[in-house]
Amino acid sequence: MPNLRLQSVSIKLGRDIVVHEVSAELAPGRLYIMVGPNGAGKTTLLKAMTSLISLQSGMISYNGLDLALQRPGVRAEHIAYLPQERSIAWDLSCVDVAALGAQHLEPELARQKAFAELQSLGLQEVADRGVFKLSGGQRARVLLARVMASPADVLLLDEPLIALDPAWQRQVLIRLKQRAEAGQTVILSLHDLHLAAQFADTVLLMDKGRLVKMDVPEKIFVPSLLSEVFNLKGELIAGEGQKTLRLESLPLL
Amino acid sequence: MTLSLRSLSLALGMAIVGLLIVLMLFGDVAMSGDMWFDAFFRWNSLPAEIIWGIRLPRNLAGVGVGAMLGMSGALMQGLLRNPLAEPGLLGVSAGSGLGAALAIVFGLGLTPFAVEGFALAGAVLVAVILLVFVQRFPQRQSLILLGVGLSSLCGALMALVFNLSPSPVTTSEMLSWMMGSVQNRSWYDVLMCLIGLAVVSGLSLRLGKGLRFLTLGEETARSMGIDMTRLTQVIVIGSSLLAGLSVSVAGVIGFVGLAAPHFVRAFGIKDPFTLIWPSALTGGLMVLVSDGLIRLLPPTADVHLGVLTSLVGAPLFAILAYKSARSWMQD
Repeated sequence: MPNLRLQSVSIKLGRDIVVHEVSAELAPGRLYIMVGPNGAGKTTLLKAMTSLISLQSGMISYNGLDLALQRPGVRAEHIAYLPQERSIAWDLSCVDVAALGAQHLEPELARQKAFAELQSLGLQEVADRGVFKLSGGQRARVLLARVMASPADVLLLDEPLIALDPAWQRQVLIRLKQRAEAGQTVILSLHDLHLAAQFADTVLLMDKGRLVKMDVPEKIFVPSLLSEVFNLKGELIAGEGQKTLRLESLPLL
Repeated sequence: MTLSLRSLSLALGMAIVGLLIVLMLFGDVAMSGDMWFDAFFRWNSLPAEIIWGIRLPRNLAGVGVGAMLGMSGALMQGLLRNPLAEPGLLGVSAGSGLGAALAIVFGLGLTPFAVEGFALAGAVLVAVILLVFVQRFPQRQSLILLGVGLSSLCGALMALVFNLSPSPVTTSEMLSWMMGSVQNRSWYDVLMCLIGLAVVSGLSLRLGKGLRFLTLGEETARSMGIDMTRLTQVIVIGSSLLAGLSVSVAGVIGFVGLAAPHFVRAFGIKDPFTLIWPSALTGGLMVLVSDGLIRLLPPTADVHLGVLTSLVGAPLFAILAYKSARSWMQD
């Protein structure tokens, strides 16, 4: 059963309609990865799913209830969001930042939960260190731990792999896949098509504000769509449990 | 050095009480043993008036004004996520100063509560403009731009009032107000400070989640269920009330609101909500120390409180900034 449903969602920013008539049903237990070129509308759509942006038309519902009508506090209990903006204003400790995601718990339990999430992201040794003393990649993982510490059953993550090294990019996707398998609905945007092909249960292919196609990676990363949307030549090769995406650039149009 | 909230608050509280006692003991009039006896047991005597009617209200007003500025600065920095934010940033202090200058130029300088009332009215007017604006544009960048605009406008109007001032005496009176003082303050002024601090403390109690979530940016805070318009309105009201009252009680005292939260952070308290109250204590201590130093100077020196808080605070702040910059370089 889908718990997040988008019905003919259109979004206008200023004078431009940046998301056109997007409809999708997103169910728990799956890892959804949204891909598309710059300006495809991925971030806007994620923000709309968090009610940070009002819709021009259409409706986004969570468990059958219109998100726009829910009180922000109630909505936040069910939907956690990691924005692209990664700034942290004050030099709080890592564990204090991660614990912000677990405010539903008593302070000591929130810190325990935060520490566990930091540990799962390899940050146990810097848990008490101020975030200003961390590298960009470590700071990105602390912010991810904040989202992971949340009780929400829908996780929305806008480019969660920014600033992470290749090993941690894969580790984070493994953690998110585990969350999905445990019953959460995990939706993220990504530019790395190779990783999207390997980890996504379902890919949402966006282009020029439209949802071009939503399907398993094998049906998304096909030569015709890769060429049409990304101006790339390539195909997905699957075999022995491995998926490899081969890509080549096409001449710029 | 890192201290827990409790230890820091206790240390600041003890420093304030200790300094209050010391400043009660010394003043222009040297008190003999008999005079101290009179001060405690003959309430209508001159020594009692010196201690309870002059020295104590002056010192408490100083603590109160500093506390209001420190708290206001902490709230502003938390809301704007900016360590350079201070109560004057949104133009409330300038509005308040303009109100006071108008009262003086209208010849109301000696009318009881007129200057204070006008100063408060100026602050309220600026705060109302800010609140109407926030309702439509709650983003912090818009708020800062409007605040800087209002501050400049009030500053320009104040310069115009100076320019058109009818006499040098009036100009001197306005200048004196602008440089701040807690001399000859009464229990009424202490009461004003207490009311301001109590009201804004009450308002602030519910800001914990908002200020903490805002550490991660407005989008994150909103996604975590924070109503940014409401949070901004509450902080603008609270900060404006404190800044307006402080100007109405003691004139313009700069630097305390900016520096007090930084001194608290230097002791390891970084949480933007938790540092509200220690910032108030630090602000109170800063003004009390500055006023104590003024009293050590000969009366002919006529150094004003606002001047001394900056003179004392700026070098300390520079050391703090240097230490922070050095620690960032090492990272």
